[in-house]
Amino acid sequence: MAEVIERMKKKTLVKPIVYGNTATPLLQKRDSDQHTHQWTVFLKPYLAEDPTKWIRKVQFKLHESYANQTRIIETPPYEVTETGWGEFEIQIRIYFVDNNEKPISVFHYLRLFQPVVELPSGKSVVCTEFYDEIIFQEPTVQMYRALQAGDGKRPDKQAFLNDIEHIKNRTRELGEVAQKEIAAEIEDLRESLKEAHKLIVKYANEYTEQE
Amino acid sequence: MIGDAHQILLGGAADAPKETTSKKTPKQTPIRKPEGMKRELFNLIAGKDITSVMPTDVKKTYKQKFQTGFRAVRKFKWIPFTNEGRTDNLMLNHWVRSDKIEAQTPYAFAKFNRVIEIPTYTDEEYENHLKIAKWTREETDYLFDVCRQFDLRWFIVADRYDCKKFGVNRSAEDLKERFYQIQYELQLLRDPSSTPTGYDADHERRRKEQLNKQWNRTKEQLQEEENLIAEMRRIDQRKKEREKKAHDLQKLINMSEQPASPSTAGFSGAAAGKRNKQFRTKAGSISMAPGPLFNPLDISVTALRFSEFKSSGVHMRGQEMKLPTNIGQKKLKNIEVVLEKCKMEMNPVASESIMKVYNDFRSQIMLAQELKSAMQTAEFELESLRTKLQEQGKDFDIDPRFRISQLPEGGLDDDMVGGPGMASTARRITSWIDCSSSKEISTFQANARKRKATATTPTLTSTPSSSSMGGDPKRRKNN
Repeated sequence: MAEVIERMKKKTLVKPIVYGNTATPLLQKRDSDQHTHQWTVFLKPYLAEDPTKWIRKVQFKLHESYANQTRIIETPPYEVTETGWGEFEIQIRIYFVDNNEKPISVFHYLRLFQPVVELPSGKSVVCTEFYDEIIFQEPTVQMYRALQAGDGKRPDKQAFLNDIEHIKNRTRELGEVAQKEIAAEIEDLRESLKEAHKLIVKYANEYTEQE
Repeated sequence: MIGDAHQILLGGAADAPKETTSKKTPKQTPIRKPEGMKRELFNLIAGKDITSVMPTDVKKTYKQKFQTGFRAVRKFKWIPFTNEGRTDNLMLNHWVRSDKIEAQTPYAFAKFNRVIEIPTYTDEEYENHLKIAKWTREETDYLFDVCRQFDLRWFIVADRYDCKKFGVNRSAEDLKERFYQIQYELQLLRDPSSTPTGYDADHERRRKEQLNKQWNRTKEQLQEEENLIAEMRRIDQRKKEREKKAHDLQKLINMSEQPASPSTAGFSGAAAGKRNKQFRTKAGSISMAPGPLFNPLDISVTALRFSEFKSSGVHMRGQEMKLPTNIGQKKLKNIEVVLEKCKMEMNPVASESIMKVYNDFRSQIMLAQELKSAMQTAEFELESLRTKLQEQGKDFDIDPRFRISQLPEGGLDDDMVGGPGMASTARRITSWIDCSSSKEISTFQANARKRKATATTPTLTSTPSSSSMGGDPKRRKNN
């Protein structure tokens, strides 16, 4: 790399994404390869935007027993549909439009049996959707522009089966409640500890005086 | 090079080089490679001067027989000689080589007869300067005679000195003291500017007494000494540990005052000065505590450190929430249990606010774990103090809030919270944290041991502390 990569100092951009998989059982076990499920692993931007502005390609690395273990998807939707009989971990590698920005990997454990989500149509499907955020710290100038160009404002609610905003809120609230509780207990323990120490010193003095 | 070595080996004989060249010539004719020899090996020696790789004729150079019998035997004669070192004119004989008889050199061993000058004193000197009550003139004279006789070899002097002669028992130190005192005085008398060395008899007596005592120690005394030294080392070590823990606790207190995520937790800056001050006052109050007590500083704290991403580049929010890999099994288990009981997830979705809440919460779990185990030690300490005071006919109640060991799983009932002497919270989360590690037990034992060391009453064995300790006969004996 001979050229100097110019980066946007002190700028941090965040791109929320959602990755996961859906799975439905096959009508019957296929005799040829014992496969029982059809599944789709995917990666989507959380916000309604055109991801090609900043994502160059997404690479899914499947279990080594699959033919063409590494699947590269260059246009949305970034997903791979396959059949199989077992769960395994899939590496999802995101390449950005600017090659100077290193690709980043997330790992998704393919789920075939849990959790089941009811569809509005009344059918049910196994679906996991995991929210995470890509953080660009001091992105390159080119990357910064690309990220700004694809900037979506509101969550793409239609794209997901779960109410992700609700999940986020609930997770945070549970955490905050627990935090309050433990903070109070820590204060309680600390006060008790101080008192206990005072008493110990006091009684120890009484004891030694009597000796 | 080869030539040099050759020359050295052959002792620089003038005809040596000639010899070697004549030897070399037949070898310089082209040699054929012997059958079966590897080409690489043959190339090493073919057409080259191989003097250096040939074994040298070591027999001739190094194994020369010792040559005897080449010279005519010289004659020795048995003749008498005088020893200048002697004063008794004793004549002895010895063998001398016949050609050396004429030389008449003084006897070689005569010089080893060193005569030490023993000072003498006149009657006047004795009367004016050397007279003391403990020694008579006659005995002093006798002492100087013996000293002269044995050349100040004090062991012999002390052995040969006839105490019965004057009816006074004299130790080696007494003799030395008298002798050197006189020598000192005489030297000063004859040369007032000199600085003679004195003899400190008292010091010598004490030194010998000490040596005797050390030599005469019994096996039991030796054993006891070793035990005491070992015990002292142990006490020193414990003291050091306590000091280290005192430092750790200060961190703990600061952390509980401002529990925040590591990114915001202030470990530097303005808070530092204030903290130091706190530390000093705290340490002061503790040093007042007499004896080996429970010390709230007996807590070690290790904060959770989540990875921070400071350099430019891309990372996932989820990575900021990864627990450090070096966290112990025990802590990991506690985090898992608490998260599960609070219906929280081990790996939640990763928004910024969730990351902060989760990271803070998990650090707080660690802090609570440390505090709980400190609380256990405190309760234990109170319990054993109460037992001791009960033996003296006194008693006190231990508030329920100190009864951490009786904390039921799932926390306290409502009627146990908030009253006087009661815990101010239900301690629900605290109850799920497990502190009963082997490390804790060892601390307890150490504390129990400390207490025992200062105990004066044998009934102490009834305290709960010693039940886990078993007997320690050595200690008891010393008590």
